[in-house]
Amino acid sequence: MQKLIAQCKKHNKKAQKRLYERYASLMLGICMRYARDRSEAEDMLQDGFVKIFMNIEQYCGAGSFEGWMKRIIVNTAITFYHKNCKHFHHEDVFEWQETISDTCNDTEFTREELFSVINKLPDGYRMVFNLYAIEGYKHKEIAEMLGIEENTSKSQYSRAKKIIQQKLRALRKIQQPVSAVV
Amino acid sequence: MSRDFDNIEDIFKESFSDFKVEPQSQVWNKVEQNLKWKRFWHFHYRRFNIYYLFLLVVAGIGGMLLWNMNNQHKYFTQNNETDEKTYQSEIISNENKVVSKNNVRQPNKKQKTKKTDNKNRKHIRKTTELTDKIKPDSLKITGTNKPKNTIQVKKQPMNKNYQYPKKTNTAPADDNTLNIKTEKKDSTLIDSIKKEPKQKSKNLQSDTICLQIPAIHPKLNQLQLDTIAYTAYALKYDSMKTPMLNNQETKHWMAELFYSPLVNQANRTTANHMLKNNVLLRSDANSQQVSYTLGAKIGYHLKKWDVQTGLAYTQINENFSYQYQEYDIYSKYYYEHAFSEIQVTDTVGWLQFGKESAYDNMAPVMHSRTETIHDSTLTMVYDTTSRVTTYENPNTFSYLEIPVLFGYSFNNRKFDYTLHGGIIAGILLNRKGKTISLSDNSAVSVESEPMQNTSLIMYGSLAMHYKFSQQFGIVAEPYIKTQVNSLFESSYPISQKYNSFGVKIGLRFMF
Repeated sequence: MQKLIAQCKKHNKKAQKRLYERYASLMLGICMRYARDRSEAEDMLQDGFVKIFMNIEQYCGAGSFEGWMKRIIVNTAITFYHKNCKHFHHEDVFEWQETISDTCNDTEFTREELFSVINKLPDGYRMVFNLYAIEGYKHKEIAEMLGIEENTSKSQYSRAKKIIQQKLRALRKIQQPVSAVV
Repeated sequence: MSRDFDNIEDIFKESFSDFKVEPQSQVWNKVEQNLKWKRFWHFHYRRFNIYYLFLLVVAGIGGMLLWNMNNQHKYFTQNNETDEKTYQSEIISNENKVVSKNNVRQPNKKQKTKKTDNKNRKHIRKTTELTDKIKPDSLKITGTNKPKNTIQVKKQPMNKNYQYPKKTNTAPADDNTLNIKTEKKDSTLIDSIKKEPKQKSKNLQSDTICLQIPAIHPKLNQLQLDTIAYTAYALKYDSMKTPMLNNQETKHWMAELFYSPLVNQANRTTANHMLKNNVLLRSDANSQQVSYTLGAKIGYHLKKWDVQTGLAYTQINENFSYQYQEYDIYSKYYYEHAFSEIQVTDTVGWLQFGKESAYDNMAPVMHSRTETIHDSTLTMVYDTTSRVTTYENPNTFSYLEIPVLFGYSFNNRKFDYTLHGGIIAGILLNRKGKTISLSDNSAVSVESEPMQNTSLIMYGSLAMHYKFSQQFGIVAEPYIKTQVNSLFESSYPISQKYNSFGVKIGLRFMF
């Protein structure tokens, strides 16, 4: 791996392609969580890899390379979010705010189902949820990255969580009769 | 994935920790293209290449051009300047006066020309202590239209801080002195104009004219000599003659640097009916991309005609996008004719054979393709699986081109229009990429095809040349090129020729 990175630092095209082939699918998985659709995710991936190759000289070996790449991809996703901000329309989120039961039965969800739930979130909520719940950033950091108030980040996360819980609950209701038949 | 909904963070974290989605193949091509451009604009001396060289040359020539243009308006320099200001005055030569009396020139035309050429009447005033030496010979004026022995100088208000004496004086005329007199009251007397002896150069007629005006400096309250220089160009303008240097006609040579984006159209033909499909596949698979040419030309022109040659590097870019379905033998079945007839009830799905047949104990593949080969004693049935290989890569063909062009020009003062026609010899330098094999339509390297090392191209263009100065100009030249001979050797059953259209943008230097 170190050799591959060293070759990429020398702008070796074959090494760049090998690195891309190795990580593209994983990075596209991240992009898909942030993007509205696959086409936007591939644009993010494209820009992200360009940034990775242009800045790979700055990677000095401290920390995992995969983590470094992920950070660049997430930052690229944030840049896309800022670009799209002016076209961003808030969905009416209140329609999802129903009372949620405190206790839920154990239910299994496929990755596709979880992905569709996260994908249908409004842009801002999706960003905050991804950054907080999955990437593990703190609200203060998210606020800085997205240029919003820390409290906004918290409230958006809270709302996103409620929407997701609601959708998962709805999904579980659909699943239960099916599993009963099987 | 059993989790409580209150702890959805864990559900998502776990689920997406190794979430992978395979990107489409063209994403890498886009990354590669983007990187190429980013790195190009991210200059580093280690990556210095022909493009940087071209930009450097263009910048250099542009700089020279600007320098040259600036110099045209810079009339004189003097080392011991104490005070330097710019203002305008009007000069009317008595030659002009004489001609206007004869009504040769239209007054409105004269007026119009004066307005448009105001900048040529700028001059620089220098103030020097009377005790200092004034060196008129440092003030040079170039041009063809020499002032007559007496010129009339009508001065518009000069520096308000100065007091210019109003008097009339006529200096004695001799070879080196021009008589100046001011007739109007509001004009300031110029004591004398010293005229330097003529320059001996054949091509450049130079006069040095220095106007010395005694004026009182307001702060110092002392008489100083105000030195003014006029260019012959200004005088020439005022005399209503077309500015033209004597040596204009002697510039027969030109050198040109150019760059041209071009688009190509590939014509593929074959006389072999069996290969018609292959030609169609090639045409579908290859899409033309924007190509380019850059190079240098040198030319000689005499009167209206010119001949040009030079060197150019041309890169033809194509995108090869092709899907090839290959069949791998999954299992094979065979029987001998001597035994018995075998019923193949389903050639796509399940193959049924008689008891005498033999097979390799592998179940046939559903929805696969079978290949059957008969000979006199044996029938072989191959059950195949298919796989599709997608090719998406750029094809490039690089040529060194040597043009021989002939032209006929139509010109006016600032523009030249030249119709060019001729031939270009193209030498194949390099080729990269994929093409479709003649034998089995598979994708093979373009290097496997027998290509001609040289090609002949017909060329036609209309060059528009805008002259910044006598030496420099820019050229825009739309052109068409048609390849005469095929890209491939004559023995190859397919012929491929390119028609190209492009616009050259260049800088021209005449000498």
